[in-house]
Amino acid sequence: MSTLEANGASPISNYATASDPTNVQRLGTGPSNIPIPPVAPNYVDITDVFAKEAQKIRPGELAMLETFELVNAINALEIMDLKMDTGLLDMLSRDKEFDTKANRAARQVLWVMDELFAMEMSWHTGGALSQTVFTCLYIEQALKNFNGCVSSAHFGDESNEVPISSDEDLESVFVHVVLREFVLGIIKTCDLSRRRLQCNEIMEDEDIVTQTYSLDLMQFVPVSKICSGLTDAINKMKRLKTESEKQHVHDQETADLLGCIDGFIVRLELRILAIKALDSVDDAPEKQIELLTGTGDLIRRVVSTNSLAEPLPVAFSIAIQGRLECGMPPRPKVEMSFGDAIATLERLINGIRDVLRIHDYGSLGDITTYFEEFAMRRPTELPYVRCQLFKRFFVHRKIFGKFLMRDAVIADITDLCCPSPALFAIDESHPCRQALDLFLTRAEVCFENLFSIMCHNRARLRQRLCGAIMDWDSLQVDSEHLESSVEMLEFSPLLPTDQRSSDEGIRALPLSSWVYFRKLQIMIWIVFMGFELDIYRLEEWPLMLWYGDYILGVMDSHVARIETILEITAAMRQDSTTHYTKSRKSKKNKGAKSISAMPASGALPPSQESIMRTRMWLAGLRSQIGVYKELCHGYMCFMAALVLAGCVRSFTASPVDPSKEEYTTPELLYKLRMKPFSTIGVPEVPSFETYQRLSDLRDWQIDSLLDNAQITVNNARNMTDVWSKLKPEQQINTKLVQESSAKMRRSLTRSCVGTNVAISVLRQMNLQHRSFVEENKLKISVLRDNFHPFFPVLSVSTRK
Amino acid sequence: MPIIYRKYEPPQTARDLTAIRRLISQDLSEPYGIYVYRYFIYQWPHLCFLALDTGDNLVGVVVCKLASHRGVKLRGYIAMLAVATAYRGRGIATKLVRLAIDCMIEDGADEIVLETEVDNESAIRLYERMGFIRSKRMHRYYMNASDAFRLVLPVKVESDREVGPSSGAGDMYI
Repeated sequence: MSTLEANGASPISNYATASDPTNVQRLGTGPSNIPIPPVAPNYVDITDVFAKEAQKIRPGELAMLETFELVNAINALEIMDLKMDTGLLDMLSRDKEFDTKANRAARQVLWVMDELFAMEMSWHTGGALSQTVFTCLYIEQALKNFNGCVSSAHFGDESNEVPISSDEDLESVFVHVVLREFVLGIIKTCDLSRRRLQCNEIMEDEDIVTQTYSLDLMQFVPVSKICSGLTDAINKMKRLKTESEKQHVHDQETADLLGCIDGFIVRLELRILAIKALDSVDDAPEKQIELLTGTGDLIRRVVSTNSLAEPLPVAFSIAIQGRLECGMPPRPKVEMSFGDAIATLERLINGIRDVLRIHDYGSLGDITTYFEEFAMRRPTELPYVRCQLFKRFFVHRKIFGKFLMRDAVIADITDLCCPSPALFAIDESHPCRQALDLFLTRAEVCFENLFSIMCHNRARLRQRLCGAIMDWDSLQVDSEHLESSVEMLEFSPLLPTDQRSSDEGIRALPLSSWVYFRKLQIMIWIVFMGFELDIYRLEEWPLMLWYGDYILGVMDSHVARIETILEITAAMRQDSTTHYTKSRKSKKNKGAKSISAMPASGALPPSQESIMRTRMWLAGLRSQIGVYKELCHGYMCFMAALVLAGCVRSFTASPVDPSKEEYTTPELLYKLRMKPFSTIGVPEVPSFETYQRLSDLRDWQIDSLLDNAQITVNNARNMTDVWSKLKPEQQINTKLVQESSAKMRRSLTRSCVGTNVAISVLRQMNLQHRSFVEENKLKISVLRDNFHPFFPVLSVSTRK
Repeated sequence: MPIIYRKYEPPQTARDLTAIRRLISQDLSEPYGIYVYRYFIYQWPHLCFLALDTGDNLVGVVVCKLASHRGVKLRGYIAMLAVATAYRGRGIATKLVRLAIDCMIEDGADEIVLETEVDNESAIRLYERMGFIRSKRMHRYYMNASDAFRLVLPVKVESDREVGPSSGAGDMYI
């Protein structure tokens, strides 16, 4: 797009398949194949009526049904316009001149195989089949001839028999054996991937296009048949190689031929492995790992023989779109270089391998952390990998096909709040049993949804979180209602806080605490993913950092509260029951406030192991919150300095040029930005006036703001260092995410370092003199690569 | 060279529509069918503004719609905006958008929305100068696989007007 003043390109997902099969010629069916309706229609010639009625319409008047909408307008076919009519494209194409039966040199066959592989990878990254795999004329011919039987999927035309020539005709064998088996292998891998990709976690058109335009990707052909054909082709090539080697001819031509044959063998072997791996996606992880491990060497050998390939671009054409059941206007082939295709394949394999690690979980709580880390990866995992994670995790409505989602909810509540194990073991006769069940059922839905959301692409993920927050808010109301009932108080006894304090004590309320924690975490993700996805313009940064800091503060207090309760519980557990009972009686006699300091009968204290686990989790959380908060402060001070210097406009100032008419106000924009959070009860969104008051910079100086920025960013860095130096045994969830957590902490350190550099640069510019600003010499840009996604770094430089 | 701004005039349909289509198609990664132009321009001709040079040649155009959004608000939508390459950098796009927004506000719009490619810095800058903010990012929204930003300009706190049932049009962008 070279547009300067236009909204942009055409929106995707607006073109659907033509519903009328008579509009387009389907592959394998000529006009003569259009089925005849069982009852002959009674046609009436309306030409005259139509012409007469059309006369009544003035130019510019639109005749349409009330139900005609934009989507219909976009999907409407416009014939006889080369840019819009794929049928016309087909008519004008020279595809018919390409003979799929013709013999081809080994080098050309090698190129077609690699190009087809690149098209497959291009499809995996979002290109439609009509723009990728289906652009190959060999694929078209094989699918056109396919009648349900593998042998029918050949490169000859329908009227002829399979034109496989004798073995002496090498070039025929390369096409009709090697390439054909490879083509069938590609069709099968696409079929297996496509079936897997049809899930809620992957957005059709947005992540992947599974549309096949009514073509059968040999869905019912067994994998064994395809693999058997591939194996036969491999054996044939191996024999051929042996025979050629026996002839002891050492010229370049023979060497190249042998190189190509090697290339064929390795590509066919890799295809078998790919089919087997895709076919066994639900099998034991060990089997998958074994298959995937074998790909490494094959990929290296494929790469090493690619240089022998000789391009045969006429074997690919977009005119095929005119022969598909497809209502889209012509679209270009989605090119991908061989190097990029190999890199994509490696990403795919590594992603699948990594997903298999979830089976090594220590506890269900580990998996929650794995999903969070998985969602944060840069670049985002490929659609197939994201889909694979959820499908591996949630099998037949159960986690790994074994545990109920309820188990994960309970594990998560236990990890965070360490409640009495009796809470989830109350018997049928307990008055709260039904209400607790109902709560857990609702929590299961919210929790499952959260796992599913984590598998979406980042933009969609943020959008879905904005919806999920309301469900969690509603769940919080339920949990608070449940835990406020007298019968449930036995699981949240009043615990003593500080004896000297006038507080009445503190109740654990583990269910509400857990829901609130998860809700706050979602809010934090929504706020900071806005930075990651570049949703905030620069003048909004101070506002969103301020709001992020506010939510982090609420979260910190909440986690601190859970920590306090945990330590009281741990202290109580450490003391002997007898001692505690005595103490309790004594306090009771004295009318002390810790009336229910001991768990009531039935409410067993948590195990020492549970307490340790929660302690580690909370410590990790507080480290993370602490670093985020310090970074927020540092960024806020830095941004405030830029605002004060006039380099960045204040959000509370007029949004437009004062000389122009204003369409909106800062308050309206504030409300719009806070919209995802305005519907929830707690924590309440601060009023615009509050923000306006707190963001007043009149009493600040640029230098003192930069001093503060530097101090807090340094604090953040030091805190990250301390966090990073925790020994594995001091951290929870080490097994699954240790490496990626360390990577994330390194990116946080880089954000600290990067911002520190920017602060220093700004300080050296001596902005108090404002000469840079007045002369518009300052350039501020956002750097994202290698920095923490939530904390991109601002770079300040002077314009030349 | 002075530029003349005027609304689309239905009697001149064929000529204007052809010119509009030609101008907009130059900037699109994939052309819209004639029905898309008819959908917008024939239903909301008063929300289509043209910029013409002294020779009466079309050099800029903005195409919009205004409809109820989910029955709760009246949403203006800037569907297409284009300025001929030779005439860019002269504020024509800004003027056209302002004319359209003024008209939609006059007709009771509560908010104005549009989508633009995340890399289209000049378009984003143009709209953000008017107060639009990015409400969300949409993954691979365009046919060229690029992401889009939804830009929103809230123009009223809330509406106490009665609005008709949602046409559903425009919901596809959500």
